[in-house]
Amino acid sequence: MTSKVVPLDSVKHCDLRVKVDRSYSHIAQQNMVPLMAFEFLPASTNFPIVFVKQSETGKFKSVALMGLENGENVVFSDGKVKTNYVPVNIKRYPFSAGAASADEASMMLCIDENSQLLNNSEGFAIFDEGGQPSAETTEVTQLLTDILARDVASDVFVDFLVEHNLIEPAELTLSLGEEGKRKINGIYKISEEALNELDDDVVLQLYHHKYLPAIYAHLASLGQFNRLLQLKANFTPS
Amino acid sequence: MSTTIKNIVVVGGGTAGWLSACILAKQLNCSASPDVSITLIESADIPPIGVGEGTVPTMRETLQLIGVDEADFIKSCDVTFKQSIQFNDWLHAPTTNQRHSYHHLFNYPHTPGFDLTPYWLMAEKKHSYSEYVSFQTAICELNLGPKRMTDRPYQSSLAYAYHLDAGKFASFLAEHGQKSLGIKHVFGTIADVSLADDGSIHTLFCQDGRQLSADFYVDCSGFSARLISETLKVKFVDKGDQLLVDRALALQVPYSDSDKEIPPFTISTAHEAGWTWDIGLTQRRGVGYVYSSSHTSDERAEQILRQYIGEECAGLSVRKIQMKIGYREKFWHKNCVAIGLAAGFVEPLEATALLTVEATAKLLAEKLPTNFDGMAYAEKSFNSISRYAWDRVIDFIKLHYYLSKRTDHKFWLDNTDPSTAPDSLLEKLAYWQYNLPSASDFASKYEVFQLENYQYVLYGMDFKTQINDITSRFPYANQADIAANQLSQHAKKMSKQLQSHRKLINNIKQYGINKI
Ligand SMILES: Cc1cc2nc3c(=O)[nH]c(=O)nc-3n(C[C@H](O)[C@H](O)[C@H](O)COP(=O)(O)OP(=O)(O)OC[C@H]3O[C@@H](n4cnc5c(N)ncnc54)[C@H](O)[C@@H]3O)c2cc1C
Repeated sequence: MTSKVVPLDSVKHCDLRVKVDRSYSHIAQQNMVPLMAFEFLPASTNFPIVFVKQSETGKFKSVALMGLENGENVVFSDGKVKTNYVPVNIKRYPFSAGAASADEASMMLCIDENSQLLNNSEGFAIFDEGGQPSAETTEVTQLLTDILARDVASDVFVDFLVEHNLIEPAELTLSLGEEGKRKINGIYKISEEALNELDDDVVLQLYHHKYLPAIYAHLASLGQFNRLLQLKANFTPS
Repeated sequence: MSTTIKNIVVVGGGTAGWLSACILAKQLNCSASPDVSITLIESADIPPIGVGEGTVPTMRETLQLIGVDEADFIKSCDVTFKQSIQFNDWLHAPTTNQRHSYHHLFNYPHTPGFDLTPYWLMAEKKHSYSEYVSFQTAICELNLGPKRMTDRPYQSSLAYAYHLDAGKFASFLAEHGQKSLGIKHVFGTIADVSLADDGSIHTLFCQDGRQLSADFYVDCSGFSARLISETLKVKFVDKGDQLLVDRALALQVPYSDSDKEIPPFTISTAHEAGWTWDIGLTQRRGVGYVYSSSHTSDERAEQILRQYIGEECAGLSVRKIQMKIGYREKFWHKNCVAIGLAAGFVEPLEATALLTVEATAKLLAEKLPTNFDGMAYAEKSFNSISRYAWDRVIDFIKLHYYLSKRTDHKFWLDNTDPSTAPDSLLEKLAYWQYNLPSASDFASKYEVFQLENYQYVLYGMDFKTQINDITSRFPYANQADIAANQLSQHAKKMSKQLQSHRKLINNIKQYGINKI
């Protein structure tokens, strides 16, 4: 079902509860999820971290890749979780942060009304009897407020990479056993060559902005394509 | 060895002058060669013509060649995308319940290893030709932009060109040419020109007393043809007997609703004694009526134009433009080449003027000899290629009129009279009555309009190629069906990936175009 994200409303949503699903099955048909720069280190031992262009803006966004085809997720499938790191953008579901106004600092808590996790009997209540956000909701709000700033920081990181010509198309050819070889288009990575040729002052900036761990985590994560292939080999689509 | 050709003066600061100067500067690598110079002189008192808003896909290559940033260009010149020209009422005069319409698309017809045309001719007519052979028709009809935000500058799986504001485009090129390509720019109105003993141009004298000399001159002075005609007396070959329109009324119509969808194609609508162009830019439409002054009066023409536009043109005044249809007997004479309106004009129907400017300037850059010894050969070769190209453009423009079945006005009767059509066109049309047009009918690479362009117009205009007696030559009917099906599937898929035309323009303005 397509999602329907709306601002949380203490009247309209007063009786709603959220089922907790630790298998995150809402993501099972999605092959990538946005990943923020601070997550690169823990994510890098689990799946490839790459850059893709957003359809609306054409700008790069960093994502965790979890499947090699549209609609395929070999990491979160069959009710199993084959990773030791769950990206924040998966964990927060069905909540999300919307900017309340043009001033992006204030956050508005939103919810996907079409989420299968929402119901009237199971899981934690979104609002308590007094109509106030429950403890869990407050926690999510805190997490999302935190994300919002980090998401912006992540975009700044990507802009820095673009500005210094560090991003290039990733030319990937995967061997898919019987299916033969397949080229994957539309994903981008940091160019090691360009990285090695940076001017000293730019390198210093990378260091001071604390971008170096993310950059090397990204490069190391490209090795995880093999892990996706292995998972895909014993994968039955859900 | 005689003197090396190093200094070039371009006369005229309209789109022809700036495009030519930019192309030459790029190809001669001016900014990196201190002893090669290009100077553009324009009169501050004589404004450029200020019309010319439609382009063809070669403009993408040209802008890329001269190093223009596509997003900058789109932002600066009120640009919208053009994927086709839609021709309305060209075949029949409209009646209350019937109008004829077809597309001349920029995507070439799909060829799944063979030409789909005979299968379209043999099929029960469900689809128009352009629908049958290309998914771009559907994209146009849905008002979608031709590219995704994830496509790189100048790239897309759909062919496209631009609609642009002519005045802003000339200023944009002027800035780019001076900043990035090393073109020098001066203001001055040329009042007199002196010739050398051999009849070539020696010095230009400006009204303010300044003088300018160069090894080579490019005349882009518009209809006045200051050098090629006034000074060098090269004759004009009038083609008004074949292309009958000679006047235009132009209007700029602001949008009443700034969110209104913009058609991603030029709309060309035939009327009793001519046709209107209708081009949607970001802030306004450019609309004009091109007509034949020997078939209608200016008053009647204005009435037609205002009727076409409707209420939105109340209070707006029209501009009248005289057009000389034809070209110079020679485009290159001695040390001077004419480009743009100074070289000739064949009416704006297929937006060929800027296309010809681009092609001619590129040809000049290629042919410009190292020194004066090479001049005579370069001149001869350039002139024969150019003339051939102009004649073929005239054939193609005339085709649009000649295939019409309109009889509502003498304009159309005259236009469909064989005596007004070039023999080169009549000969082909006679052949195509029983034979399919093929690539070999367009053997020169200097022909701007090729097989595919002809196919869209011929079959859009209901031209009947009779292949009934040779159907056995076309054994791929099944494959053709499959291909046509795949195309309509592809149209559906693409229509989901593409944004509305206006949204695409807005997004490009906001986010630019990712270059990686
Ligand atoms: C009605 C109409 C519609 C058109 N539509 C299209 C279209 O859709 N697509 C397309 O590609 N083309 C179109 N064209 C053609 C297009 O407008 C021209 O080809 C294009 O604008 C180039 O013009 P130009 O630069 O040659 O001349 P102009 O724009 O007239 O520029 C002439 C320049 O020469 C300078 N000049 C003149 N005399 C002197 C002098 N004595 N000394 C110094 N400088 C001088 C002037 O100052 C000016 O800068 C159309 C034309 C018309 C008439």
